[in-house]
Amino acid sequence: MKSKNASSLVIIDDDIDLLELLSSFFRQRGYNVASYEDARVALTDIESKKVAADVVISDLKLPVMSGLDFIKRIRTFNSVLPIILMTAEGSLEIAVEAIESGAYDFVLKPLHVPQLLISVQRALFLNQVQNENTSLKSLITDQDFLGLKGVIGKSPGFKKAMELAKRVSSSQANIIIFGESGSGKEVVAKAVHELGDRKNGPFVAINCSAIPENLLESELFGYAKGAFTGAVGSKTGLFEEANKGTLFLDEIGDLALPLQAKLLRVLQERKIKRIGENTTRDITARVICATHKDLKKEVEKGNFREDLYFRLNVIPIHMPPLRERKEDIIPLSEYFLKKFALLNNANIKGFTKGAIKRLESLNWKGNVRELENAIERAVVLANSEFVDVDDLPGMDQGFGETKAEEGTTGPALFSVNSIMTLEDMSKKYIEFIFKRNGYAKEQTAKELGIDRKTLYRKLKELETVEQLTIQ
Amino acid sequence: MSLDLPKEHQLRYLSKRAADIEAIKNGAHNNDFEVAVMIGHRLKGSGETFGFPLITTHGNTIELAGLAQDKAKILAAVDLLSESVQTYLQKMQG
Repeated sequence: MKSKNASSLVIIDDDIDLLELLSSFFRQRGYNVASYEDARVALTDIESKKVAADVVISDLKLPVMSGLDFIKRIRTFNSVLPIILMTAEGSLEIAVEAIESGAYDFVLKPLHVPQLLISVQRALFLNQVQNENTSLKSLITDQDFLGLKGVIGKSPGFKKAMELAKRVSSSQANIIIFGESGSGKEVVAKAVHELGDRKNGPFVAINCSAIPENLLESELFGYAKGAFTGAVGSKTGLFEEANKGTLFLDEIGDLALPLQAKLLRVLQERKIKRIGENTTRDITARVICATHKDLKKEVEKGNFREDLYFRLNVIPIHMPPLRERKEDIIPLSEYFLKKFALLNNANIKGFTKGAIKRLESLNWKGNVRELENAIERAVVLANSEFVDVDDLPGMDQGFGETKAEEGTTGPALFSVNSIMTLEDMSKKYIEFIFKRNGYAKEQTAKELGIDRKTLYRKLKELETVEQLTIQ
Repeated sequence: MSLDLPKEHQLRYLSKRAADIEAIKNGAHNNDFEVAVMIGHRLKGSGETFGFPLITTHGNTIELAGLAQDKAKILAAVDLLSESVQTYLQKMQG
């Protein structure tokens, strides 16, 4: 019986006795084995994906197509599949030729089968590493925007923000990014950095609300030795560290007023003074600020300096919250799913249709950060190859609330003008309860008084649980 | 050889050698040395794998004799192969 998660071996040898021996040996150890006497047939089956192959073991001396010819043909469409060659010809020249042709390993006959097993295990490990490498590469190159790795989104709001970031990246103008927490303000700041002429310099980020005022000043400006008790050495501030690069000041709206004055001076004069020093130092870092606050209102309340506000607000970029760019939810979810599946070594291929509906229906008050956390959780909890509704946060778990797509009073089941069949009415009612429960099967089954299996069958009839793959 | 093979696997392997012996002999008598090269090569690769080192030894001799088109040497090696197969069979069945 074919095992779903076992590794797949293709064994080719015209010696039927050996073919049977090896097939039996590897099957007993849980491998899926496809055996061939003719390399041409194996080649066709591998190329057409009729047979799965994680590793190939092939004899070198075969009638019609030799093991070396087989490797050469395989390499025309698969450059990484590990192939182990077996031969009773124990010459160094043949071994070298085999490896040069692309063989992973070369084993001599008579076979020491346990040694062959070790070679297969190593080849599988290599195969796994190569596959992970390919997945990682696709993760960082498949889904990008403006050629930036990991910058994902296709909504008009996202595109507008990123295109503005691109336009201003080469200017020297001050930029301030507005957006709710977790909406991706730092992503925009990094895009400005990466797309501009400072991309080879450092990108230094600091969250102004996360550090106490007195520490923040020394972090930003640095200090001289002996400037205050405990200053046993001098320290370079972040403005200097970010020289020739970008300094990203997140949550600038939470900066204390005395520090606001100092920041204004730095932006005007392009010079800093370390704490405890009299000499000034030139700074060349570009400063990008961001906040979740409405700075205009903060100015009116007296919490933010008006002159600094005008100094910063030369080019404002607005990153909309995730609920206003729903088109980004699925591409972001797919990206995070790939990322966390790789990190957790989980064989998760995508989302069920119900899960996709749930993702799209939530408000995501915590924005992209909340979505990322939810997907990480789902990948860890998922029991199958597809993340299902039950793996995602429910409405009662502090995550975003569902948007009322339709009333919760139920569909109009009875109408004077149209009579429906009992079956149609039953389907409509199941659909209604399913939607009302945010596509949670367990709760739906409970409310309908049926078991999960029955519900699943009925939902299948409704075609609401078709599984969708990422690609 | 540290591989513990099921006995029936080994017995089946030995019992199939009678056909090889016959084929090599027929080939040699008809001056078809390719049969000796092909079967000798196979036996060289499989004998010890199944736990029968003498079959590997004789297979190697038969292959080399076939390449040299040495009929007498082929027939002599085949006789030795036949004896070895019988001995192995007797040991396993006894």
